[in-house]
Amino acid sequence: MIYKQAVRVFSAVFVLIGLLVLVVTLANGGGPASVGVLMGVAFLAVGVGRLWVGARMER
Amino acid sequence: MAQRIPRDESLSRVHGVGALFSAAYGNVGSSIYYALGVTAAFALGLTPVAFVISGLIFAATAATYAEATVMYPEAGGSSSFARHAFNEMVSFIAAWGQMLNYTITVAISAFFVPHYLAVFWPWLGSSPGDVVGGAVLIVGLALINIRGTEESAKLNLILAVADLATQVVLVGIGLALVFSPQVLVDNIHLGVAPTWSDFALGIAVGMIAYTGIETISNMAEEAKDAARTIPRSVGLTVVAVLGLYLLIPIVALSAMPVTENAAGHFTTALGSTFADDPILGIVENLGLSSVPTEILRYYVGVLAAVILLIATNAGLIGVSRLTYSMGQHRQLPEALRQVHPKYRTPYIAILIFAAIAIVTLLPGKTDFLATMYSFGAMLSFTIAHVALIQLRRKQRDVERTWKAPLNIRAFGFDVPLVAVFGGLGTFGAWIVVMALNPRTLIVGTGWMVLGVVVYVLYRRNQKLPLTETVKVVTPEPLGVEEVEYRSVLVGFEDDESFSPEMVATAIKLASKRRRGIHVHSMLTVPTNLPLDAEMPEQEEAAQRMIEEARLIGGQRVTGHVARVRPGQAGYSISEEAELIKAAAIVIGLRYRAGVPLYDKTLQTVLGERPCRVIVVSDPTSSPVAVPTEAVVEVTG
Repeated sequence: MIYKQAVRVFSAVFVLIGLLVLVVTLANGGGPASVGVLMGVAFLAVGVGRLWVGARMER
Repeated sequence: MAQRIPRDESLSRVHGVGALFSAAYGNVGSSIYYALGVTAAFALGLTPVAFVISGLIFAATAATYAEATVMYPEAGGSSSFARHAFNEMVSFIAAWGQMLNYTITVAISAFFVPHYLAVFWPWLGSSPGDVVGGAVLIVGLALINIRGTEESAKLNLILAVADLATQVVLVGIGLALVFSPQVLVDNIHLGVAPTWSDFALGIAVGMIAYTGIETISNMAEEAKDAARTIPRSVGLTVVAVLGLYLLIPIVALSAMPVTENAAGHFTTALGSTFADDPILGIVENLGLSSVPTEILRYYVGVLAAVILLIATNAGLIGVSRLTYSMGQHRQLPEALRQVHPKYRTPYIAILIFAAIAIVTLLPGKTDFLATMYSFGAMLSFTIAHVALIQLRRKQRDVERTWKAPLNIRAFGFDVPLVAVFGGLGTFGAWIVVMALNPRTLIVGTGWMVLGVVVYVLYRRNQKLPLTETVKVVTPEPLGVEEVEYRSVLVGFEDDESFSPEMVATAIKLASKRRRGIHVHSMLTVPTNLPLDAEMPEQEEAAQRMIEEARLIGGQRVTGHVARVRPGQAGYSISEEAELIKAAAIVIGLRYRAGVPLYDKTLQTVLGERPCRVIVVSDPTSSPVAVPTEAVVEVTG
């Protein structure tokens, strides 16, 4: 139970970090191929992906 | 003869649409006195657009609050919705975010009071006058709130009407004298002034202008016909606020246009010179002659200061209520929610959060306060939106007396589009506030992490589950209503078990905090022993009854152990009642094999009847369950 909750929390934190990195990059004029955007998307994908996998396993 | 006093009706369902609207508008309408300048500093010429976008998010949030509040008319707002939709942990996160809101409301409102009072005392308009003035105000109000204060519905109504009328008059004068569509268009330099990131931040910060919608939710328990009055009052507030918050920035930016300085920076006096008193800025730039301008300045200065003072106090009352609510749900450690022995207010929490409010205003940075507020509010609102969607999903078959408009059938339930739109808006604003303000990100995240760590440690320490709701149980008094008694005597004999219902009934009867409750715990000494014979075990058991009563009733419960001979308990109770001039006696009804037993003690007390006698039927004290609970009142 604790493991599952920890996974959820850390996945949400990854999503949050991804979004923050994306917004900061875009606000500072970063283009679609900039490192910030790529990092942000990567964090976002990892977080969302882990949440999705967790949800599927529960079903 | 016992004195009958009308019961305190403060929690009766008495508020109609007018009262709810005035309370909500009083709270939301006060925000413009500080939000306009802060938002204009970021959004410049696009301030009206920023207010429209944040206003639409506000309208969606208001609809979400209306539906969830009608479903659960109880104090707590997003924290309460999250409890019903998810679990106690999410509810705590929402509540802790709200606590941040209340604390920052206290800080930001108090900080702006001196700025508006500067029309009389100019030294209050700049540092350190504003910081010291704000801090002194918070200390004063905290002390008043520790002594206990009540919001005056009448004063709220008068101020809300005065506020609304003043804003309408200012807008009317402004539209007639300074409104210029051309100036408004010239104010905008897309992508330059403001930059897109500043505009996004302007929208997020603009949301602070719409704070206060929780007020209606917190008053829901006192709302008359909640299903009708809450949506109507929310609707009225939304219409009034959206209309005025579109027009006020238009007038303000017509009166104080965006200009480019020598260094090439774009600025407006609304977001610089008058950032700390924007409504006074409008008054001074309306183009009126000197005498009407001076009169209007003093009037707006006083009105704004009073409204912000009330908002500061409302923030402290919010801290108090939220502490109580969180305490009831075992979300806060006892030390934090400790109640003052005399005034019955959560004085530790008030002092701590007032101190935090003072610390946050010490740097005198309004943009920091605004973004911190936005951080807490957006988190809280986002949880409210998601909770509504979850409630629709979880309770898809439950009939709702009021439903937010714009729904679409998907995933097997009616998805509320306002909650989806509102949730995306508030979540986006939350992300923007954090991403563009590293200081807010650090302090806000620190606040939330601190809260969650304390919550987890406290729950673990108390051996309570993290996600399940555990509520402090207060025994319900048994149907005693309408009258209140001065002091109440509760009589316990040593051969009966302690009855929490009897104490709860006495508390209900003596509900005002001044009234005393005296526990007369009797120890029967057999006739073959002297009256002062040593009976340590029995003495301890009798004393324990007093202590148990104190656990329920707190400091106002007093008591003593009385030694009596067999068959004399009734006389002892009557004598004690006369001695302490008790206005009522609470005594338990015993049962034998499920049949009420009018024993000698009861017969004697009823025969002597020195005052009113309340006989409490407590089924738990009987080995055989009794189908009904009752209170029998015998008039003396």
